[in-house]
Amino acid sequence: MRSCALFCAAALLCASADVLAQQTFTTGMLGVLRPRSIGPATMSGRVSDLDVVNGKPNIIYVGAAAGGIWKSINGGVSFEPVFDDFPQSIGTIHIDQDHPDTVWVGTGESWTRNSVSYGKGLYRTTDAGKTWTSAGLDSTERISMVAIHPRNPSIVFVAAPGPLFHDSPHRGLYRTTDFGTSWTNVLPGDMRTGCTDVLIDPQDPDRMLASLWTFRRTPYSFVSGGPIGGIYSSNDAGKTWQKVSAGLPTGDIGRVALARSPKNPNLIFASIEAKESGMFVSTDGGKSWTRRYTGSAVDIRPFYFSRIVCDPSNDSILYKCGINLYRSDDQGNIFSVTANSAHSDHHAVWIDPKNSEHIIIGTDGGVYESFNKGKSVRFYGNLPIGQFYHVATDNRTAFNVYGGLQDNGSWAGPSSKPGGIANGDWKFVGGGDGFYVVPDRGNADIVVWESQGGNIVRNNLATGEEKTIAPKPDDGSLKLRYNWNAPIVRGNRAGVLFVASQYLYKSTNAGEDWKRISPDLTTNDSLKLGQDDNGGLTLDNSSAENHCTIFTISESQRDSLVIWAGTDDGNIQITRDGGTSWKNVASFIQGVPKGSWVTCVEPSVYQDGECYVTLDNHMYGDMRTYVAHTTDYGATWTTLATSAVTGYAHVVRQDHSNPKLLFLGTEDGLFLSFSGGTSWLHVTSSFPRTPVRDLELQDNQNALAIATHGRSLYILDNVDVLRGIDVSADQAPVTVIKPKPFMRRYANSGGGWFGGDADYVGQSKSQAPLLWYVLREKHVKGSFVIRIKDASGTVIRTLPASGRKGVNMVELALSYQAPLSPKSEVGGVFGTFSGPLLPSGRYTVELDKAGEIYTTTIDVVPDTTLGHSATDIALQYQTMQAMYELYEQLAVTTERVQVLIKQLESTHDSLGNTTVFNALVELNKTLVNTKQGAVTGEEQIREKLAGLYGEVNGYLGRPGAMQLALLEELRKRIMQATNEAEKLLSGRLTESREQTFARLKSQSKK
Amino acid sequence: MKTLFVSALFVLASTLSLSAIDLDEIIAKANAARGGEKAIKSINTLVQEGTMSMAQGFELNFTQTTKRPDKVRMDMSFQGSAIVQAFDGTTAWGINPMAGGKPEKAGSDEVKEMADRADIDGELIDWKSKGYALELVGSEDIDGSTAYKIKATKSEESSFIYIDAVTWLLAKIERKMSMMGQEADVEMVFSNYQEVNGVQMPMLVEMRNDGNTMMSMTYSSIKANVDVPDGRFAFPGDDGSKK
Repeated sequence: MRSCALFCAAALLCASADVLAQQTFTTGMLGVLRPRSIGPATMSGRVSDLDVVNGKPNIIYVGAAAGGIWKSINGGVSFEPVFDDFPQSIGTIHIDQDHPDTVWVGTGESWTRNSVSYGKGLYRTTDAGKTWTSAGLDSTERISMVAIHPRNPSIVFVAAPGPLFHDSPHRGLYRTTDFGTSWTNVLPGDMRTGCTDVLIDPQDPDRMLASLWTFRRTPYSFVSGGPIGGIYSSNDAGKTWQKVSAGLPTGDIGRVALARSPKNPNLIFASIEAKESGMFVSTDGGKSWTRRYTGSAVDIRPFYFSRIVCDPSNDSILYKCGINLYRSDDQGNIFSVTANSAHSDHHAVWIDPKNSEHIIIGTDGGVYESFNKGKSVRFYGNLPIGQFYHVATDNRTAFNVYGGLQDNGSWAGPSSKPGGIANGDWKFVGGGDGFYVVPDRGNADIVVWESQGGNIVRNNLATGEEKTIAPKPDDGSLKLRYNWNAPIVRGNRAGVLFVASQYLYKSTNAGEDWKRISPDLTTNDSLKLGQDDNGGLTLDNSSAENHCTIFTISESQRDSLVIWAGTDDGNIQITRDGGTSWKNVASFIQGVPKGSWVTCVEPSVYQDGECYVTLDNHMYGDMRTYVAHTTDYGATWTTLATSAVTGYAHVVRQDHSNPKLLFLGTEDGLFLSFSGGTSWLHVTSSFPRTPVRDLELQDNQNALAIATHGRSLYILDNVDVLRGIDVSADQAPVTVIKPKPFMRRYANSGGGWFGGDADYVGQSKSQAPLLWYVLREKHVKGSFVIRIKDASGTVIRTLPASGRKGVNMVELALSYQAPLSPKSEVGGVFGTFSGPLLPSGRYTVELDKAGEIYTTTIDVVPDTTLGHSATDIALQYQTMQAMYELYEQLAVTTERVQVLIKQLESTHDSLGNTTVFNALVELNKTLVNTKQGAVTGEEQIREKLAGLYGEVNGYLGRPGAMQLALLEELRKRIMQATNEAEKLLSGRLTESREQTFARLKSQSKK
Repeated sequence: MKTLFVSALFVLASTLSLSAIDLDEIIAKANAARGGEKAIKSINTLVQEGTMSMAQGFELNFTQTTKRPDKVRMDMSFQGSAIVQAFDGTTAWGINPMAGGKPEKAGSDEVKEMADRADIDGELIDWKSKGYALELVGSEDIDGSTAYKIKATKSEESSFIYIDAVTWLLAKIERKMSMMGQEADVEMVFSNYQEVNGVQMPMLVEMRNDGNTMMSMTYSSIKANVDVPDGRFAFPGDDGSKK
């Protein structure tokens, strides 16, 4: 008994210790050390659903495949994400049009392609998206439609197709009568059959229709259709249901889309996947049906395109989503293509109830709007919801990023740009579905990319020429098995490339020639190779189900003869002799189901034989995270994912400078570990829970490029700061990370040219010198400042310090304070906003935290890339010093003149001393502008000198000879004016020049 | 080991207390932590001097003068010229040297903005009579410390007020702000608290957008109950004065 108590106490303590160890450094403590979104929104991404407030079409909600919900309140001019803390895969958005602040969101997209993500049930807002509440059904994984009772908003029906990859009872048609507190499954389907669509009769809400769908996906197959599938009706508000057959196809039924004409509620349309698919129409509220249209609008990929939308104000018009957007103007007899210039693959349509011409549509390539039923469309360039599969970087100083997206091609763009990264900064590399896009390590203009199923192409971005370079069968067959997302991986040396089908190929000349360096590395399991008959009722052979392929490759940076390869059917193969012999080491991993998809192999740069791998078993219905680590070429493994990690794993990277620092991308987002994987942080601050598919460390710039499959690309800058964080429980109260030397250069403000608000602008890296420090506790009470001191100990600047618990960053102002400015009552002056940049040298940076002092130093060094000689740099600085001093002299003179003018005015001495008073007033008029005016105002000595100051301050090289000559002329005039002023002031002003200067200086420091 | 265990219990206890509290209790604790309603309401005027720090080392000195019940004036000196923003309870006006330096009356966005700034007490005191609806909507980590999140709604517009769960001091306000005819989401983060006239005042306010600090306001001096005539807030001419 006693030992049991002791054991329990020990267990509790251990558990507590574990909890506390994990809590010593939390995600929130990363502060501003977090990824920035660089877009692009150029090509946007898949929109699974959208809804608009009827009567207020400026309020739009867009649901992304895996990029959350974006809301516009200005008719689509700009959007903001409003759902970042929740599952990012959106199945349906349904505004309660009678109470438009209430919006229901079913998470988990129901367009069940191979790469589809999953949801966690139903959510609801009652304040138009400001706050959200989970409303249950969190095991359904996919929700496709919501219907609200027309007279009682507490009664809601939810159609859940349910899980895609495993049997589950959590699917069917659910009903709540208490606004989502409790649910009843009123039309359960079966373990493989869920509900996709539901309609309530607005005139008689007891009358309902719903459709059931049988579907299943594996890594190598997709099946749609079954005997239970089809249309069901209820006449008792969903209590009992009968299958409808009159006029409908017999046999197995696949996915069915339903829509009711709002204008004519007895008119109902059904797009039905069957042996012979078609558009069916009922004019009696769904009792009996007639086949109307047959053809491509209903034949192609019903699992992906099953939405019909009726025009609210015209019962002849309906739209059918498909590869194209199709419109019928005759109640479903004939369908014609519309919105032809929009991206293909349509999933959502909203029709303005007050204006049939006005439609908003959601596609695989974002949102479009039309004011003539699709004849011409406008693209929304402000939704960065791209689904990147991979990302690569080049070695340029301002490096570029490269990547390919679901149905949106292959692209290259800047990692940062002054003023932000605009849509137009992205360069199109190639079409189709995009995946790997890799620049050559020697010449980044040579880029190899692909479209689905191994169509591998090499582009020369400089010349625009391209060449198809995919390896061809050399094994006597006519076809290689390339994955949908076939690997293209760079070796250590320029020109070295690896690509793979079931075989691994190597090139040493950027894909000009290939050598096969492996046998079939997969299981070559014939049961998994039936793609030619894939799809169920509708044939679907797009290469998306290609299986038994090599999926991931990596050449060891320590030894080019060591190559790791992972396959989609569970093999982890390693060669230590450049491909002559191979060994499958997958079976040595304990605790990972056999056959799990190997998503990433990451050999260590620190140790021979060390490697990290991620594995993904979700396509067999297992959502767990698998990360494994070996140090002996795969003979033994440790699994690393803790309970803090969620989502099936796509990628793991080990930092190149700190072996304990790991980055992990899963379907649930980004995780990092400071401890080699024994504990993990979920990076959630300002980073949505969107799938992270790929990561690449860019060593020169200490950056991590992040490919998300839902929110385009992100970059985490300052990875070197992460390396310096002490996460142990006994970390110091304040840890200051020594700042990098600052290369003397002005930040380029960049910026566009009044482009309005309608385009997304990706965030850029700060150009300012940064000071990073870590606080053990949040600073709440007392002052906290940062002082910058020169070598003599003189304080140059005092800056506010931020006091977050965890990581803090302050942009250091490495320039002198702005000079004192001569005063004018009528207008401002430009040019003297800041003091000169500090000259090269070492400066002390002092943190004063309520009296506790912590110091470091920062070196200011010349930026040699600007090409200025030391003499020119010195001349610029001396000129700035001279101007600074002169401008302050002018400020003192002006102040003294103005003080005396006021003094004479207030004592009415101006009358007795008219000559002096008038002379002072006239003098003041020559010193500063005194005539009313803004940017178009008068210019006197102050304005001239300030203008010249700004010109010279903006360029760190040699000032122009004419600039220097003008300075001398201004100096002469200021000296003259000062002499004249002092004569007038003499005996009348008690304050000396020195005292005036000291007073002004003290006033300038608050 | 012992300290660990005690800490674990403390973590457990604070987790429990997080779930048990209600809105009224949070408001009471927050007002008490500031110094209590009596002390707060005994402040009739406030004169706050400080510096605004922006990107690239750009700084602006200011003096903000507030007078109960609804008057506020902000004076800044910029490159030798005066910038003024003021509100006398009815009229918002300003002087912008880059726009000619003449006093100009401001529109309804500024009136709303300045009326908010003129409220010495803040949203959590007399909130019902001021027309706010408050709702406790959860808790969030603010800069490494848990804070209660209160939604404040007035005239169909909402802001979020975060009260630190340990110190009970105001940690952050999140709201939309209309400036120069554009709307922006702004987070105001409060820290460096010091006591003035028995009331805890933040000496640093960071204005953030999406977590990034865009501007910091550091107060170097805060004086309470300095005599300030009403005319100081009035549009020049409206009170018969020159300027």
